[in-house]
Amino acid sequence: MSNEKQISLDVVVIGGGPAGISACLELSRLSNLRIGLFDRESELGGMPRSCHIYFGMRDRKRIYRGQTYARKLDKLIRKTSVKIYTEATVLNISAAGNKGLHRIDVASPNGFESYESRFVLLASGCFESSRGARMIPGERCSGVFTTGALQQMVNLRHQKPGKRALIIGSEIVALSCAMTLKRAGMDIMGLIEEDHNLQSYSSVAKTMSLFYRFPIYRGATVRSILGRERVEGVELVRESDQKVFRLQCDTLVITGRFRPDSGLIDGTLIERDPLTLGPVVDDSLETSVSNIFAAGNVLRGANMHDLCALEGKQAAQEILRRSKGYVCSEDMSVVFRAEAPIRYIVPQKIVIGNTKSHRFKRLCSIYSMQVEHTVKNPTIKALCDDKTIWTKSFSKLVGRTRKRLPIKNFDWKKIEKGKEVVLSLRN
Amino acid sequence: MGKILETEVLIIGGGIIGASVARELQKYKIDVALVEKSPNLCSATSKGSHSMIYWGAEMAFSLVLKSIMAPPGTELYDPEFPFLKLAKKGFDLTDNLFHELDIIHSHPSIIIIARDKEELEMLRKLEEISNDLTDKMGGGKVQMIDKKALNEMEPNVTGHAIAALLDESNLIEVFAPDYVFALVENAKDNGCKVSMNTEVKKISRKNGVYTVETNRGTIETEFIINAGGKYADYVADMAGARDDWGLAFNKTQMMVLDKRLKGLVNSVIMGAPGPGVFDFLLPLHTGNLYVGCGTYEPVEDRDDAATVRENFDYAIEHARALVPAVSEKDVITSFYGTRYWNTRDPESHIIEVSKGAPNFINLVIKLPGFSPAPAIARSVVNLLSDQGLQLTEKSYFNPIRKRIPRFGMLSNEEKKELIAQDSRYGNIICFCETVTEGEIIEAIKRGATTIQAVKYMTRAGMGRCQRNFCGPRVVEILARELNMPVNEIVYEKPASKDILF
Repeated sequence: MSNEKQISLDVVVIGGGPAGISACLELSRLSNLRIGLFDRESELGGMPRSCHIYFGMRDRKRIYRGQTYARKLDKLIRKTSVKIYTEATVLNISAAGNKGLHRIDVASPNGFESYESRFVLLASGCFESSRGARMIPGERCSGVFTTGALQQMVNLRHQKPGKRALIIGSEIVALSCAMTLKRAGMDIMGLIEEDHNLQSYSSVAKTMSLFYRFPIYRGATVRSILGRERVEGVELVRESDQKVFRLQCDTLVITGRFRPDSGLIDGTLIERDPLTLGPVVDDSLETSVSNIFAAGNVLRGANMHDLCALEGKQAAQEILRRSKGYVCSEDMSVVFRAEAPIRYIVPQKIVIGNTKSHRFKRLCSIYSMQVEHTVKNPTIKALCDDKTIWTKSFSKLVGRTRKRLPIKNFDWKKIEKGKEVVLSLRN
Repeated sequence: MGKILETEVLIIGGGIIGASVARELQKYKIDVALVEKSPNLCSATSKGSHSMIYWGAEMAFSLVLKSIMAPPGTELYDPEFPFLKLAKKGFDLTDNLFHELDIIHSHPSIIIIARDKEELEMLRKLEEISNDLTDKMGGGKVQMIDKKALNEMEPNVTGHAIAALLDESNLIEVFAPDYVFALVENAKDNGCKVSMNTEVKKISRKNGVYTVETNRGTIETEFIINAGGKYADYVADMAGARDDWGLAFNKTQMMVLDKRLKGLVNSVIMGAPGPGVFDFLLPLHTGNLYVGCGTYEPVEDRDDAATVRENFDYAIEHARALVPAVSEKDVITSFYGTRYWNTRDPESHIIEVSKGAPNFINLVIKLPGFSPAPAIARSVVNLLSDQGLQLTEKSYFNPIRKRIPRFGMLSNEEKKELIAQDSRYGNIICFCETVTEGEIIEAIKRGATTIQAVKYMTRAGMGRCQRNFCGPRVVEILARELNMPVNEIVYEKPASKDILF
């Protein structure tokens, strides 16, 4: 392979969604680095292209519909000197030689190319857990989709998957799903959530259920999907009294429970967090491999797109700092560990030196956690070697909803080098 | 509906047995046709198979397991059992067959672990039987290894293991549909007629010729080979050919785990057999882990394949008892595998000409079916010959079939070359498994008409997102290539448009 020609770049950004594009915009605004943006779809924009919930509040300070937001990002990035590669799938990331450079192999209908770059930013986003991954039992019939597949069919390919749909899950994406179903001219037969609380803005969900006239079933678990060929309905168990009842449908949409699309780190030295299934990063969004960064939903599944955009921007600033010669002192980092029912903490590492820097306040904004299911009156504690470094009580933590972690309030003086900080929940 | 075909031999059923026979018969100058009622080959029992092709320790395991569950005094095994001879013969034929048909496969070792003294006793028994089998009939020997050797070989196996039985040479791992599709493709290349979506409705016989009525029209044939699998009794009844047997079934829920676990174990890890307990983790050549931890469940309705929540917990618990690092987060899909056997003699296959219907050969194959398949196909040749069918060898039989290129498995140079030849190999459709548009189009050319057939032939949609990204794209490509409306493309069944021969 030594005679292969590699195209040289300074920064490779993988994924042209909000995080990737925002990073490119920031990098090209502040530097002359040679940047390549790779996206496997034929157009840029990522997930917002197929959604119609409103975007852009926190990053662009304006409200757009999904497709308009995606087009806006596309328009902005095409004005810069960033080299854009669409329909270009990154196949793998590896080390190029021994100078600390990274190599990425890319396939597209135009050919197979290899690129060499000092910095890589992974911004490949996330996808919803499939029925299989969620272990939803029952017949293996057709007509069972994720919102991602549904929106691809309806919004991008103008297909109508069925007539009467049931929605499983109540994260924000479930509301987007309801809008898509209505747009496709389908009836919504109901929304099922196993938690007792809706895992999104419950007032919006309730309004929507009134407006679109569909019932919401909370505290109900799918016991079996019915239908030999096409889905015909589901069998639910109400948790409170274990009563079993059946709902009919010809389409079942399984929403939410996003997981990082982090296949590119398979078989690499980039460490994976078993909780998020995405790469482990520190507070500068750097992965366990030097100069490979990650931002956006590849870190932990779905956050709102504007937050991903801000994360992309932050990763860009870190890359700029590195390109100007800043060296990160690895031995000063402390690892966070989440205990169930806390689902994760991202970033998973903090560099103690950073806690004293003037940048710290800004860094803090990216720290977040999530609980698995809704918990009432919980107290969250951060412990380091039995010393409490932070504790806080809440009236309620809603399941699978992002909660910012105010790490600037942590007592960093009590922390020792090489120890881990354990975040646990009591109620 | 009129006559659609005249043939000398009609094979009913496109599972591993029907496919093996179809391919074997191509070596002779006879007309052969195969009908399959579903739009996909490998659509029932074969689909749910773990597709381990085995001898040695695994065979001993299955014998011991059966003896544990059988009434006391049941004969454990006799090397003269015909099904053992067929399994061994089939096993020996398989490697060469896979070479000819260009089927991707692997040869993992089997490690059966003992976690206490009782299990250790069981291992000794397995060792004895396995080595007796291989002494008498050939094959590599198995050996006991201690904890230290086990840890060196498989460091991720549970620390509770005290010893293990190692079999390094008696297992072939393959993806079942790959095998079946390859056999039928090769049979077709050599002249076999294959008709999908063709369900046999009625069979009658007049003047030495069978008239087989199907939903597509009638087929006239001299010989019928009933490879109907779990529906073999229905097929036999249509011709009055069922003689004195019936079918019985059981089923087990299985799981496939994410390929990020690649390398976690490199051998098949099994627990010692117990009453109704057979736990194993099988590393697939694709990097995924196959979890075969389930119970034998009685089957009331042979088409019931609805998975059950309790079984997920059971499987995860048992898998973790073998390899603690696996978790429910790794699950990507699950399904049922069905076993069937004949009620006349559950311990043997039925490979015979029906007493009630002349020239009608019943093939009712009990577990394992994949191991003996090539040998069973040869037995059928002999049976046909005994029945007076003139079998002259074809000098022009072509045993070679080339698989669809697997873009993701090629070297960089090969990838580059393939895209340069055909740019559709640069359009990645399934991101999880790196499957290109070129591969999908090739699968459709080779007969895929459903999403599932594309999935089986190319792996598109078999990865961790389970068709979240590629599902709608595959539908679009199928619709375009088959010139069908998008809403008529089906996942598995029923098919709305039929491809005849």
